[in-house]
Amino acid sequence: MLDYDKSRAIYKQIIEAFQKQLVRGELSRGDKIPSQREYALQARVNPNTVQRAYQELERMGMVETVRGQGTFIQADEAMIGEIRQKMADSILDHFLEEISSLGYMDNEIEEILNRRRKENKEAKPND
Amino acid sequence: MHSNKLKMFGQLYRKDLHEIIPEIMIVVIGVVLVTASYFLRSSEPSPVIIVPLILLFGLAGLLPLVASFKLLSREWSNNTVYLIMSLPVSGAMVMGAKMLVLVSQYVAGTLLIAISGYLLYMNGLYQYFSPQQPGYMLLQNPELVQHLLAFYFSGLVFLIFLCCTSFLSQVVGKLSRKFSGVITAGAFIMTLIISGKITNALGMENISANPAALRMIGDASSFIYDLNISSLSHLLLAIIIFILAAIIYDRKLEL
Amino acid sequence: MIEFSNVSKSFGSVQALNQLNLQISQGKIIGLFGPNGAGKSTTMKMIAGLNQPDSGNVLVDGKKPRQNRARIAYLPEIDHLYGWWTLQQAADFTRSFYADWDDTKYQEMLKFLNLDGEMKLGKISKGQRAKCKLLLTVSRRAPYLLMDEPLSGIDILTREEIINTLIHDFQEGEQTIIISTHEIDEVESLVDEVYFIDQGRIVVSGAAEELRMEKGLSLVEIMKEAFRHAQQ
Repeated sequence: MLDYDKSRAIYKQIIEAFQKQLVRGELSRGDKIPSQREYALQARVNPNTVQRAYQELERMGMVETVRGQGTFIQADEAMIGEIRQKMADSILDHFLEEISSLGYMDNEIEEILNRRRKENKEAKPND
Repeated sequence: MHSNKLKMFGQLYRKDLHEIIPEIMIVVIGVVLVTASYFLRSSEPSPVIIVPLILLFGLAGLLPLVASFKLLSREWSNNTVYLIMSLPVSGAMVMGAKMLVLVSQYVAGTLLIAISGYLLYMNGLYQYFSPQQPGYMLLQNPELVQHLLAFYFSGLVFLIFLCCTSFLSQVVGKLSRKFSGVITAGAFIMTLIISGKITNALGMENISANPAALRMIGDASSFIYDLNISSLSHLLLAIIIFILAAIIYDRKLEL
Repeated sequence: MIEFSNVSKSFGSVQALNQLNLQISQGKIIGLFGPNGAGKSTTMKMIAGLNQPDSGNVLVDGKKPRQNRARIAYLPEIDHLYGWWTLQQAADFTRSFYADWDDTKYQEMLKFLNLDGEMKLGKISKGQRAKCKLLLTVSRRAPYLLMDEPLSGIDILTREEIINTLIHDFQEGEQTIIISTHEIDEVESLVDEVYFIDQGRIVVSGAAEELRMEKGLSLVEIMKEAFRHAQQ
C-alpha cells in the first residue's frame, strides 16, 4: 500500500518505493515485481501513472519486462550501491539544509550528530 | 452482441407497459367486478348492467389519453429522461413505443369489455333484444358488424390522434423551464383547434358533431363513408403531429 | 478526442459556460474539478449530447455528441434508472441498446462489487445503487465514460470499491474516463489530466503529475490557489 505525498509526482514516488526496497534488501536481482495492473490496484493509483514509473524503471535499467512472464528486477550490486548513495545524498542534503537553517555551523554538525546517536543508543540499547 | 432496432423497441415497449399497469388494472378490475356481480346475482338478469359496462367502455377509451401524459411527463419527474435521452435511439422510437403501449391499452381494455358484454348477452341479456324491443333491428342488420368495426377503428384512430397531440404538447411544454404545465395545456388546446380547422377546411365533418345513433338508422353507407374520411384525416394529422413531436424531442429538448 | 471551441451556454439568466475551451485526448482519466455551480455538470451533459451550446462547437471524435451516443456511457449524479427494475432487468435493458456490452465482464464485476441481480433498484441503499450504476456502465466497453459526481453521498467503503473498480477496469489508451467532482482529494491519485472550471471557464488545466512537479502542490492545493486568484 503506497503512502504517497500528493504534492509530489506520484510516479517518482513509485520509483523511490522500489528503490527503497532494493536498498533495504527486500528485493534483489531476479525477483518479480507486481504487474502494472496489480500494482495500480494495490496502490490505488491510475494505471497510466504506474506505466510511466515502470517505463522509467526500465529505462534506468532497474527492471526488465519479459513478454508473457512479467517484470523482474535487473539491478545488480553496483547499481544498488549507486542508488543507495543517491538516496543517502538526498537525505543528507535535506538534513544539512534544515540543520543549518537552525543556526548550527558546519563544524558543529559532526558533534551534534554523534551526541544524538549516543543518546538514542542509550535509550534503546537493543536497537 | 449486436443490438438491433426491434430488440431496442421491444425493451422500450415492455418498460412503458409496466409503467401503466395501474391504469390497465383499473379496467380489468372494473370488468371483473361487473361480470362477477352479474353472474353472482340472485334475481333475474337486469339490463341495467349495461350502464356500468358502457361507462367502463368510456373509461377504457379515455384512460389511454390520461396515460399518455403520465408516460411521457413521468420520465422527467423521475429523472429517467436522463437514461432515455442518452440512449442511441431517435425520439420517434421512444415515443413510438409509448404510442404502441397506449394502443395496446385501448385495444385490450375495449376488447375485454366487449368479451364481457358478449358473455353477459349470451347468458341472459339476449332476452332484452327480442323482436318487441326496438333494439332488435340493430342486431338483425348484417351490416351492423361493419358499422361497429368502422366505428371502433375510428375511435382508435381518434385516440391515436389525441395521444399524438398529447405528446406534442408535452414536448413543447418541456421547452420552457418554468411554465411547462401552462404551455402544455395551451399547446394541447391549440393543436386540437388547428386540427379541427384543417379538417373543416378540407370539407370533412367532424364525426363527433353527428348524433351517431340517428345516422346509423338512416343512411348507413354514407355514414360509414364520412366516418372513414374523418378517420383518414385524423390519421394523417396524427402522423404529422407525431413527426413534429419527434423532431422537437430530438433537436430541441435539453436537460 | 473531445473538443470544446469557445462554448457558451446560458440557462435563463444564469450563464453556465462562458467561452469554454477544452481538448481532451483519448485514453486518459480526466478530472473535471470545480465548486458547485461552476459548469461541470453542464459540460458533462453537453458531451453526452443532452444539451447544446448557445454558441461555439462541441465535437466528439469529429462528430456532434448526439451522433456518438452509442459510444458514450453517461452516469448522472441523480438516480436515473427505473426504481421498479431489478439489477438484472436494468442489465438486460442496457444490453439491448449497446453492442459493446460484455456479459462476462458483467458477471465478473457483479461478484467484485458484491451485488445481486435480483436487487430492486428503488429499494437498495444509495451506495448500492451507485455501485449498480457503475456496474451497468463498466459492463460496456464504451470508449467514453462520463461520471458526474460518482462519489458524492457515498459511504467511504463503497467509494473505495468504486475507485478499485475503475482502476481494475480502466483500459489505458482505449478508454477515456471523465470524472467531475468537487471532492478532488478522493480522486487525486486517479486522474491523468485535470481541468479546473470556475464560473463557466477553465482556470487551470494540465497533466496532473506535471502540475504537481511544477507547483510542488497537491491538486487540492492547486485548486484552492486557482480559486483564490479567480475571486480577486
